[in-house]
Amino acid sequence: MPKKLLGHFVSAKSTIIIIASLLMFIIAGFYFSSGMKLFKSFYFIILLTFLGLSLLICTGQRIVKLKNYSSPFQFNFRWGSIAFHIGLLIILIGFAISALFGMRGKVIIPEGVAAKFPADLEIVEQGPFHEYKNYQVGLNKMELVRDGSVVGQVRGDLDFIRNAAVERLAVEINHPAKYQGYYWRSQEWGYTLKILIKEKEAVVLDDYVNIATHADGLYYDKFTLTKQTDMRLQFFPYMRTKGVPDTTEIFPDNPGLKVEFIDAHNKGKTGEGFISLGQEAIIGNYSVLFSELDFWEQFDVSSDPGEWLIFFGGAASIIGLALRIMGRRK
Amino acid sequence: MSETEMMFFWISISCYILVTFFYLFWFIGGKVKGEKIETALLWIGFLANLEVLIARTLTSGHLPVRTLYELNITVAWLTVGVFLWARRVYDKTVLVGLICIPFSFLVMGWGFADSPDIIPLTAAYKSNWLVVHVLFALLSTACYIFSAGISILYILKSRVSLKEDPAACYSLVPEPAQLERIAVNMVMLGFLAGTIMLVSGSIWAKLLWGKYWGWDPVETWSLISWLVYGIYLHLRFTFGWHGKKLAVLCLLCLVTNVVSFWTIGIVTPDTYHNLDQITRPLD
Repeated sequence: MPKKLLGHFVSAKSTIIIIASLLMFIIAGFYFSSGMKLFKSFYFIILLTFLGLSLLICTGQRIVKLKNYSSPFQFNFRWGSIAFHIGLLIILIGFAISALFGMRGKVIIPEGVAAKFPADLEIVEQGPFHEYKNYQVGLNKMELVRDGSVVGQVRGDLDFIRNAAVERLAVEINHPAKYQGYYWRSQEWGYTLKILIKEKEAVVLDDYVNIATHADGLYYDKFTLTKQTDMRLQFFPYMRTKGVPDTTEIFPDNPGLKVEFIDAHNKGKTGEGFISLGQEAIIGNYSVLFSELDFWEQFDVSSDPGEWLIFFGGAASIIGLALRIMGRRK
Repeated sequence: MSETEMMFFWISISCYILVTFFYLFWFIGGKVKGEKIETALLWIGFLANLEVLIARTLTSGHLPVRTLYELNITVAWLTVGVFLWARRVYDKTVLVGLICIPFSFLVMGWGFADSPDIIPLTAAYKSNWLVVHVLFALLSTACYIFSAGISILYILKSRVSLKEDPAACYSLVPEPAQLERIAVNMVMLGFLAGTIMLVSGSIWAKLLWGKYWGWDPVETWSLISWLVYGIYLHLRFTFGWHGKKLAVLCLLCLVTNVVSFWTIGIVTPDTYHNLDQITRPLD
């Protein structure tokens, strides 16, 4: 019986069936599965397992058959084909290891603030066998590097603190930092504003506020100020003279803020005004001071124990294909 | 677009159009005439296309792999390059130019009509993996276009082989068995380039987004195209598929490649492959 079962996996027919099933699963998952749930399902994992088993058994059979040839170890197309399929198998194993022992999460850290790892992290994925290392991470400084009129790079200096030892590492887009086996990648950034709001000398808000960045390129957010009042803040990196904002400038060379106070019940505006950094103004029933401007940065954090297998498998599959093409059937 | 680039762009397109007329006359007339002029025109067009790429690189400060126009002028150059190389290696494949050369000047025209404006590279695009990933993607498309052209010739030739008095143009085309061998070889080359594209793209995605694969529309269709060509190769080498069904399959496979490369990016503009969305929309 086991031989019969094995026979199903080593047949050419089963290979085509598995690849075709994978193809149909991908199309179904992409077009008919909301939130891509099908790709994280048990059935997809089973399909990938079948693919791995088929690769393992078929490749093993090919290696055994090599002894039937007069020069089994001579460079020829057969070894190329074997290397390609082994490479794919190694990639699958690498993914499995990362899925079991790795993790992914994200965290927003404003400048000058330290976050606890992993306590402050929003975990996106976590393997059942992952063990966390505890440390703290502070965003010392974030900088927008100019490249003409565009942002050439976003550079953040992270301080990693563990057992009283501090290590500073730079993070840039396309250049993550690696600490204790965890990759820290820059994912998103925005502005943090220090706002002081008073109503008749009583402090209503004295805090740092992180403003969201939107796909339209604008920075705005809505907050609940009191039970009766909501507040909408729109940040402008550059204010022209007479308090007119420039919506096209990227660099915060002359930053300003548009403040709107909205009645929480009838949604009508109770006050609206513009203030520049360092200014205080009376808007509606409140005095508003915009005293400080910093950045916040969102980081993607991941641990990927299988990455070297994935890289090695990728290289093996490419080299195998090249050998397959170069080695000719005689 | 600089004046140099504009000038060489139109020289390139003009040469490609002129050589297409040569192929048409050869196909209709069944005889190769003025091959030296055709070869000279094709090389002028190819080198002018190369000059367009160089001029664009110098003006923009980066290799032309960013906008639709840049991608199209690069894939056109690679397609003509693959055609020039393949017709040296494989005899009697000049009529594949009827597919490759019109494809080249049409995509160049499309890119120009879209917008030849230079868009600076944002931080997300500034990686050496961009060049590797995109160039091998374009090279795989160039190889697949050639194999599709060979497959079309195969279908036409195999039909006329059954006739007693086939048209003279088919004497310019190799025998069906040779055509099939060439098509399979070109698919294998394209598959190798496609594999490098997928692997390099995954490594770059890991650096940029923190994960090798995100089931983004362009990623998904690239994988679909790769798997479809994988099925083609398995059917050929493991099941011994040959003949018209293999040639038709090659053409169907090309459809998935065209979808993954052009169509899906137009239909779903919010794909992660639009790297302006990655962190800063105004970058």
